[in-house]
Formats: sequence, structure tokens, C-alpha cells
Amino acid sequence: MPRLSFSTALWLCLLLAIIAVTVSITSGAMALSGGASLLAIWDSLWGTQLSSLDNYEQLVVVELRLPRTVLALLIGAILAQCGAVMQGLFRNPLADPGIIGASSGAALGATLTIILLPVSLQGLATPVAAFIGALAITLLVFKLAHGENGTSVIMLLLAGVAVSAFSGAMMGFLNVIADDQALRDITLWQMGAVSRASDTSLILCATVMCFVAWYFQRHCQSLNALLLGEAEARHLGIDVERLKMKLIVAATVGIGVAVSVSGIIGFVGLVIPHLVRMLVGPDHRTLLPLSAFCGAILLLFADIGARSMMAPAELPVGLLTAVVGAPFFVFLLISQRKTFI
Amino acid sequence: MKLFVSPIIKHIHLASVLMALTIALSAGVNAATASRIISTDAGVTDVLIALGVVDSLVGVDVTSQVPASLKLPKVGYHRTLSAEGLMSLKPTLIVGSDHMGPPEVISFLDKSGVKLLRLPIAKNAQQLKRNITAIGELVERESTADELLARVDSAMLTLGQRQLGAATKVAFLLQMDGRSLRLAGNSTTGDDIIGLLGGDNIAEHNAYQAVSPEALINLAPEVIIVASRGVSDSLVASLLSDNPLLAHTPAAANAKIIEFDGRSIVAGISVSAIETIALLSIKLN
Repeated sequence: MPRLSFSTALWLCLLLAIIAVTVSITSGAMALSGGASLLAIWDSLWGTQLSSLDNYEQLVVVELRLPRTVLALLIGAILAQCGAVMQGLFRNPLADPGIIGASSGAALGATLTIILLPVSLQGLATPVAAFIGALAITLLVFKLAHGENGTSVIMLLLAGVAVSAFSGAMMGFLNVIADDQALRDITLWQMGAVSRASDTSLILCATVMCFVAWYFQRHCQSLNALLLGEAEARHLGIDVERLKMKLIVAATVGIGVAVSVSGIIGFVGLVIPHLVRMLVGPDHRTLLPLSAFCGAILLLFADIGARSMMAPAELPVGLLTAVVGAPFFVFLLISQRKTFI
Repeated sequence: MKLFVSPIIKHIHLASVLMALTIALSAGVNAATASRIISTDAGVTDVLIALGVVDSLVGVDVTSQVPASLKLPKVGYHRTLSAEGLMSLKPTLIVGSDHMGPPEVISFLDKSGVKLLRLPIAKNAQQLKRNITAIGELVERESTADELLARVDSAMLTLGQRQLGAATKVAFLLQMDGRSLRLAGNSTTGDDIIGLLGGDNIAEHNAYQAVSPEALINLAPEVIIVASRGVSDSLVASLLSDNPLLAHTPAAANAKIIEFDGRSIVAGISVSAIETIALLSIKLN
């Protein structure tokens, strides 16, 4: 595959993002005029009366489509960047939030609240518990892998697998004692959705997205050095242990917040960095921002599909990212067989 | 002059009153026919269909059971509704249970001006009657609602006369696939049914949990109610042939293993469920 220059790729991403946002604002279960939908947003920003939509139709555009569009962009960007950093940090093409236990920790936290707490408390408690679960399990995995001679990547991955299996078993146990309603809630939560975009979650995600983008960008040269190997990076004067610790915590915060707001959305963090590496190469200075863009665009397109395929009901968006992401990943693997093996 | 004027005025009055009446009547008819109702709860759907407002239904949730001839859009699972999906059906009224959600969708519906009614899930006859009355008033079918209430009352009367002894140990089993048996614990519809029959649930746990035939024999149920999601011809026979050991329970010895159509209790206690339970109580006594 011929590599693109950074600026070409960036322009391409911007164009795609604009298309995705326009489609997202103008499509949905309700058949509303596209132009009028876009004007409705203009109206709500500047207090004009240009849109021909009814009052409740304007509400649909401004309070439903717009927030979920923004949330899909933010979550996609966070997940893709965290995935890229995890892969760079572990120099493992399969590393993703799931592999060091963040996703399973979040799922365990959410399952606990869904089963043990009354429904009225779940709205607030589920995201908080998911976040705490993600952070706690990741730190535990990190602690397990941390020995006298630094953190072993193999230990980290194996500990991640073991702890994930354990929290999977705990969830299985919780599922046994859960009633049917809670079971269904858990299943749906685990498949993820960006439809529940409240103002708080938008602000939270925007803050976290800016933080991880800035923080990862600050460390992108160290990540580049790490691509050579841990010993080489150490010889270049990088405190590899501190770097790992800092980046894992930052990525876990990102993943924890994303998961707590939207549930588990797989494959964005795994597939997007690979795709971007194939397009522009492995330099983290360009890989990270472009991953953010591509993750945002992928998740937004997936959400557009999720809300229109089964209208008036909705599919969980995590289901679509997996359905689209997995075959695409296999296709990439086959077409790039030489570079991988 | 007055003598001439007043009859004319009277006529005008009469005409205007008649006119007003006609307008009011036609408006009433319009209100009834033009209402577009979405039901997001199986129990509510059940009541709406029993009240005969099938034509006004424009959407139901995935747990609702509607006649096969009725092709209605499904609005998804009642805890994860899509606000835009609901709005796209242009509803004038949305009725659901108090489990309806997520909260963001509820607050959006409040804002959008669609009338929203949330009723507690019927776990007993009193709540079922309250729900029927509330829905009946809302869709202006009070007389049909009264008939339904009378049906509930007569079933409850039968039940009241044919209560099991208070210490009768009852097991409510869900047969899922011929192999595993799930025993209804506390806060399940199975538990509510045992309560209505006047018996004592042998299970101590919450929700439905898998049990082995061995555990069941140990609990020594005097009555076993077996429910299934599908309808088979001989649920009791297949239960006993799949789990021959159950023949050693007191219930089997007294021929008190009876079957129940599990589909009528998906959403708590419905009118048809109460009538079925009343029939059960006759069989058991």
C-alpha cells in the first residue's frame, strides 16, 4: 500500500469527518429534510428562525442527533488514541484496552451495580463503577507485572489475560444470581451505545479527549524510541518504567471514561491504529492525531448505521463496530501478510 | 317586537348549541381515532388489546405479545428505547412501565410534548385493576375497562374460594429446553402466582435459578406448577419423562403437577393470566 503524506491524510480525514457529521445530523429514524436539519442547529446557536422544522423536530436534531454525533466523535477519538498508545507501549500489534484488563474491569464494575443496586441508582452508579473497575483492574495487572527488574511486557499481557478470565468468572457468577431484566441490561450495556449523551458526559469526554491527545502527543517521541526496543529506549535516556506507568494510567483514564459513558465498544482501538500505520507509517507524531480522526469517523459511521438499520429500534453500536471491524481486520492481515510475518 | 324577537333568538341559541355539540362530538371522535399510541410494556400492550384499541397502536416493545395478524413496528427493549425512533412513529401517547428508560429518553419525551404514562408493573390484582382503570380513562374506553375489571374480580372471587392451605408447599418451575429446570424464587411472577393461589413458595432465593431434580425432591413440593415458553401438548408428561425422579415428590404422588402457559406471564399479572390462575385453583382443589 503506498503511504500518504501526513497533510494529504489529514485533509482526507477532515473531508470524511465533515461528510460523516453531515450524514449524522441529517439522517435518523425520522425522515427530516436535510437542509432544514442543518439549519435547525444554526437556529439553536444564533437564535434565528431559518429552519422549517416543527418545534419537536428541531428538538430531535438539536437534542438527540447533535449530542450523539459529538459523543461518537469523542469516544471514537479517545479509544483509537488509547489503542495506538497501548500497541506502541507493548510493541504488540494485538494490544488493546481489553488485553490489560481495562474492559473486563469496567464490565465487572458495571455488572455489579446493575445486579446489586436498585434501578433508580444505576444511572449514576454504573458509569462510576465501570470507571473504578477499569482503573482498579489495570493497576492490579500492572502491579502483578511489576518486578525488581522493571515491568515485563509478557507478564503484563499474561496477567491481563488471567485477571480478565477471573473477572469474567465473577461476572458469570453474578449472571447466575441476576434476574432476567438485569441480565438483559448487562448484555446491552456490554455492547455499547453512544445514544445516552448527557451534557455532563459530553463535557467529561471532551475534557478527557483533549487531555489524552495533549498528553500522548507530549510523549510521542519517547513512544517512537520505544519502537526500537526497551533497552534501546533506555540507552537513549528515557525512563522506560516511568513512561510505561504514566502512559498506562493516562490510557486507562481515557478508556475508563469512554467505557463508563458508552459501554464497551470494541475494535475501534485495535483496528484504527493498524489502518493508520499502513497509511502514514508508524511515527507516533502523525499516528496519534490521525488515529483520533479515523476512530471518530469510524464510530460515527457505525452509529449512523446503528440507529437506522432497525429503526424505530436501535442496534448497540459496539455490535456494529465488531461486525465491521473484525472482517476488515482479517482483510488487512491477509493483504499485509508480508509485513506482519 | 319582543314577542317576535325572542323565538328567533331562541332558535339562534338552539342552533348554536347544536352546532357546538356537533363540533364537540366530532372533536371527540377525532381524538379517539387520531390518537397514536406506543406501548413499551408487555402488560400495557395486553391491557390495550383487551380494551380493543388495537387500531390506535402504532408501535410496541420487543416483549409485547400482539396478535400475529398485527404487523407493528418494534421500538426495541423498554429499558433502552430510542427517542428519535419513538418520535418517528409520531405518537400522541406513550404508555409504559416504571422501568421505562433510559432517563435521557424520558426527559426528552417530557420536553417534546408527547403524553407519557408510566404505570407500575402489575404484581397483584389490585395493581392490575389500577392499571386497567388508568389506561381505560386515557383511551376513553371506560366501559370496556369496567368489563375487564369485572373479569378480574370474578377470577379473584374464584381464587378466594379455592385457596390452597397456607402451608402448602408449591414449586413454580420454568422448563427452558427440556433439560434444565429453573425454580421461581422471590420477586418473580411465579412467586406472585403462588401467592395468588394461597400457597407457600418452597424457594428461598431471588429470581429464577437452576435446580436439580435431587434438590427438588429434597424440598418435597406438594404442588408443582410447570411453565414453558412454548406450548407443548403434554408439558407435565415431558417433565416427568425428562426427570423421572420427580415421580418421588409428594406433588407427583397426589397428581398435583400442573402446567401453565408461560407466555401469559411475561410481563407480570395480566387479565388472562389471572383467569388462567383461577382455572388452576379449580384444578388443584
